[in-house]
This record gives sequence, structure tokens and C-alpha cells, in this order.
Amino acid sequence: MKDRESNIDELFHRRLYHTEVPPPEMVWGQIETALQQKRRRKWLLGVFLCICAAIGVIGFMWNRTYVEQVQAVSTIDAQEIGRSLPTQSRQNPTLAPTSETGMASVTPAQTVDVTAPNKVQTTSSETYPRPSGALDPKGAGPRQTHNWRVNPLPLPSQKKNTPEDTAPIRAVDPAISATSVAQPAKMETRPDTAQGTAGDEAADLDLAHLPLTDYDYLSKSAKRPTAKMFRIVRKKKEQKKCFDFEENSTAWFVDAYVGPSLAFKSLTATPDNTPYLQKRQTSEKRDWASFHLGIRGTYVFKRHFLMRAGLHYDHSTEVFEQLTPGKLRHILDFNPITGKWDTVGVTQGTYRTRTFNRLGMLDIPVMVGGEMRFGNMGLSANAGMSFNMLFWKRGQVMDTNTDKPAWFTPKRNQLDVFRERTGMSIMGSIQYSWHLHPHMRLYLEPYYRQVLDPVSLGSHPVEQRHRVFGLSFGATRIF
Amino acid sequence: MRGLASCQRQLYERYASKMYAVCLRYARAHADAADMLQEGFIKVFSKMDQFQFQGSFEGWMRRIMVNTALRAYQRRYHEQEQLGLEQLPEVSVSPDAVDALSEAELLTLIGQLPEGYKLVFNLVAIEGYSHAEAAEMLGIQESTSRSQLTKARRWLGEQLEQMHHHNTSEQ
Repeated sequence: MKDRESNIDELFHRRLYHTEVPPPEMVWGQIETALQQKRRRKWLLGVFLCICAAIGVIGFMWNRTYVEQVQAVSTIDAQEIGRSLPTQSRQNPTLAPTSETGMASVTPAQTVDVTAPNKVQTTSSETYPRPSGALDPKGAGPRQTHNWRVNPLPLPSQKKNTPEDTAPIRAVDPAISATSVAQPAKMETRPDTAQGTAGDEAADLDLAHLPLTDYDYLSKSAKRPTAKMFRIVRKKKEQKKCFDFEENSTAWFVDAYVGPSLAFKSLTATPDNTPYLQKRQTSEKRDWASFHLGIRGTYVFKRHFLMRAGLHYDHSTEVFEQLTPGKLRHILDFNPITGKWDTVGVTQGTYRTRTFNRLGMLDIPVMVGGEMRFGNMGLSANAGMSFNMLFWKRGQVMDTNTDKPAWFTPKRNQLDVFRERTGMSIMGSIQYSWHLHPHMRLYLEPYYRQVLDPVSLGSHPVEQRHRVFGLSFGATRIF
Repeated sequence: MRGLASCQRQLYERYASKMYAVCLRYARAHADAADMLQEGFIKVFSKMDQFQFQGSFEGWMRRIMVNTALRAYQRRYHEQEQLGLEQLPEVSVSPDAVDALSEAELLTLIGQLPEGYKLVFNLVAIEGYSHAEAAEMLGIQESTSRSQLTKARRWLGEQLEQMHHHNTSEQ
């Protein structure tokens, strides 16, 4: 019984395991459609993720720029302020910065008369001692404690979410900012903090809500803060080699770069042209070693944002190789007697044609980006478009009709394969840089470029698309 | 190769016929087999980078097709009919009975098998999987796989004998 059963298995296995049944023709069309949809979905997802990443980076940098501005303002040199403060204000302990919090403290429930900024009327019955380490105009006190909170706008991250820190103080702010310069006004501290203690931050005069330009309210003789009055809190070591982007929120970069790259091409054809496509694929290497170089100008604004434009050249080389079997070769010899060429031999064999196809694209890339800096190092993300100015090409390709190698260089006018220009490309890059000198830095920048339209002519049976992945080594001069 | 439409096309043209025959053995109808083939090839193209170059590429692709077919079977599991074939008598099969039939007729015969029998017969008898492997792939007990195969053999044997007798009597 078992043998008989095994016999059935064997018989069916032998007959059916290698059976071939041609599938319906529509199946490939359905597969192709599904694959295209899948590719499109993947591409869209990639674009979406890139946009999200770009928005994230730009948002982060925007926020960072803002915070740095606030920090720069908040670290006003105490001596400058001290000089600019009127005597009464200096003597008044209520307006002196605290040593521990770095914020100006003021006695609660007091009224500051903006028209007479030197007078601070205390309405509370409590008095508060002058904190230790408070402002000393002669510079006796510690400098790092003389920080005035003069943020132009309240920052969510810096505000404390205490119940006392909400409505009352906010109700006062607009009046202060609107009237502090142009119109005399009175600013009252929060009534609810009148019962506070000397060390209570909630009782501090929250100068964070005063605009930067309103230093005049402290004294008519007070100077407006200048860049020299700012003391940037940074390590000395970091300042050695870096360009000072804190002092200069705008700058110009000039980049020069060169590097290796990999150029990829994809060939597609309609089913009718598939045989020709296969011949081309067998005669051409698909992925090419190549190089690129360029120069670029960059405008830096708001310290972290970049606008780039320049000239970029991508050069690619591929090998075209064709073997012609059964090629007859006639060996000729010149006969000086007859004055003619005689055939002295004929050989038959495989003949190999080998040509290096060279393609060059000169483009004007226009990119935007953002840059973060960590000490001597910098990291920037860039994205944009590239506009082709020149598409130079020379080489051979399989002829569409004769299947013989044919030059496609327009100069030789044998076979028109490529468009005159490649059109637009999308480009993206990430740059890692480090300073050698305040005005000079080196960088590494991997980039990706996708030519949007086919580089081949529409009349050519095979559609050819290009993309390039490269790694740039460059130097930047900062002006 | 992944992502290149022309290479995918070449691959399809080379293996589609073989894989379609595999799908036909698991499918109820040609339309089902075409769906399996489409789904299987999309998996092959998208998972091309997972091929480890261990064993033949055709074997790897065949396994993907079989798994796709089994998944299709599981999707329609609740719709399938369960025929009680326990009462079928044992029959003997001569090699001539099988040889006399064309591949298309054999495929049709397998297609007429109840789903459970067909899957086990295809996996164990034709593809060469062990009962343990087939049971794992189908999510059934190994003993169930054995009994299903036995029933499939009986059913096929009976059908083949009937066809063989019919053909010889006609001659």
C-alpha cells in the first residue's frame, strides 16, 4: 500500500514539479502597475520625511536663534549698565540684581514711576535687605551675577507656571511696553506678591517683559545697549578658531569643493522596445565611478540660515563594450610594385568594441539650509534645485536599427540619444564642517542629486534617468 | 536588480511559466492562480535583497510562491468546503494511468481535490516538504497532514483508475 501511495507521489512529482504553464499576459501589466504604485508611495514617503526633517531643523534653529538673542541680551555687561544707571537707582536695593537668581529683585507691591525711573515707591510695609553680591558699580561684586532679565518677549520655556505668574503680570506688560518709551506710565508689581519674601522669585520685578529698547525708562541718561555691551557666554577655547556668529548674524561664505561620486542610471522601455533595451544593458555598465567639483557662494542670515548658489559640475564615465562574434578581419599589405593594397590574410573571430562614454553636467544649484554649530564644528542640512546649463556627452551606444555601435555625440551626428540639457534636478546635502581659522573652515558634504526628467530624448526607444550620490571635500572662506 | 523595470521584466519572463504552474496547483481557478502569481512576484521583487545566494534562486522563488498560495488559502479558509472522504475505498494506480494524462489534465485533477487535501498533497507529494514542515506551514497537526495526504492519494487514485478504464474501453 505504501509503495503504491509513494508511487502516486512520485508520478505526480515527476510530471508536475517542472511543469510550465504560460500565465495570462495581463499579469505582467498588473505587476508593473503595482510596482509603480509601490515606488511612487515610497518616493512620496521619502519626500514627506524630508520635508518633516527640514521643518524640524528649521524650527529648531529658529528657536535656537531666538534663545541666543535673548541670552545675548540677558548677559549685558554689568559695568556698562552700572555706569548707565542713575545714582538713585544704584543705591536703591530694590532694583539691584540678585546674586543667586541673576534677576533683578524688587520689593513687592511697589510702584515704579516710569517718568521718574529713579524713584521706587514702596507701598509694602515689609522691607527687604539688599542681597549679597548685588550690583556694585565699582566692580566689587561678582560680574556673573549682574544679569538683568530684559527679554523683549516672554518665553514659554523660561516662564514659570506658577499661579502667581499668570494674569496680573501679563495685564501690566502691554502697558509697559507700549508706553515705557513714548509715554509716561506707571508700572505696578503684582499685588499678590506683596506678601512675598525677599528671596522669592515671584516677587522679583519681572523685567523679562520689558522691551530691549526700553532701557531709557531706567534713566534718561542710560545708554542703549550696543554689541560691545554684550558679554557672550562661551568658553574661551571655543572662541579661538571660530568665526563669531554671535557678533555677526550675517556673513558670506565662499566654498570650493571636489570629490568622488557615484552616478546611477536607470533604463526603461516599453515592451515593444525591450529587446533593444536588453542589448543596451548588456553592452553598458550601469553604475559609474565619477567625480564632481564646484564653487559656491553662501549668504548666512539670522546666524543659522543659509542661501547657497554656485556652479556645480558632475562628470560621469561608463564603459560601452560590445563583442561581435564571427567578425572577419582582412589583413592588408601595401604592394609597392603595384602601388595597391593587397589582402594578405583574413582572420575570423570575436571583435571587441570598447569605448568610454563620458557625460558632464554643468549646473547652477540653488539651495537653502540651516546650520547648527557646536564649538569648532558645524552641521548643516541643505536642499534645493539645480538648473542645468550644459550637458556635455561623448561616447557610443547600440544603434537602434543595426545593433552596431554608434556614436551619440551630436558632433558626429550619428545617433541622437540625449537631450541638449538635462533640465532641473533636486539636490540635498548634509555638511559637516570644522574651523581651522575664524575665517576658514574645511568640510565634508555628502549629497544626493536626482535629475527630474529623463536625460534621453523622447524619440529614443529607451528612457534614461540619472541620479548622483557624491561626497564633497571642500574649504570655506568666511567674509 | 531591484527597482529596474527591465530586469524585473526579464526575471518575470524567465520564471513566470514555472511559477504559474505552481500557483495553479494551489488555486481553485486560473484567476486565483494569476492573483497568486502577481502577489508572489511583487514579493520577489521587493525582497530581492533578502536572497542569500544559498540554494537556487528558483527554489527561493518557488518557496515564496508556495507561501503566497498558502496565505491565499488561509484568507479563504472559512469559505472552503470540507468534504468527508473517509468512506472512499482504497484504489491502486498504475503508472500508465498517470502517463496517459497530459499535464493540464493532471493539474485539473489536482484542482478538483478538496482544499485541505490539495494543499497537503502539493506540499508533501510534489514540492517535497516533510509532514512536519507542511503541518507547520498550514498550522495543523502532523497527524492531520498525514491523514489528509492519505485521503488525497485515495481520491486521486480512484479518479485516475476511472479515467484509465474509460480510456482503455474507448480504445
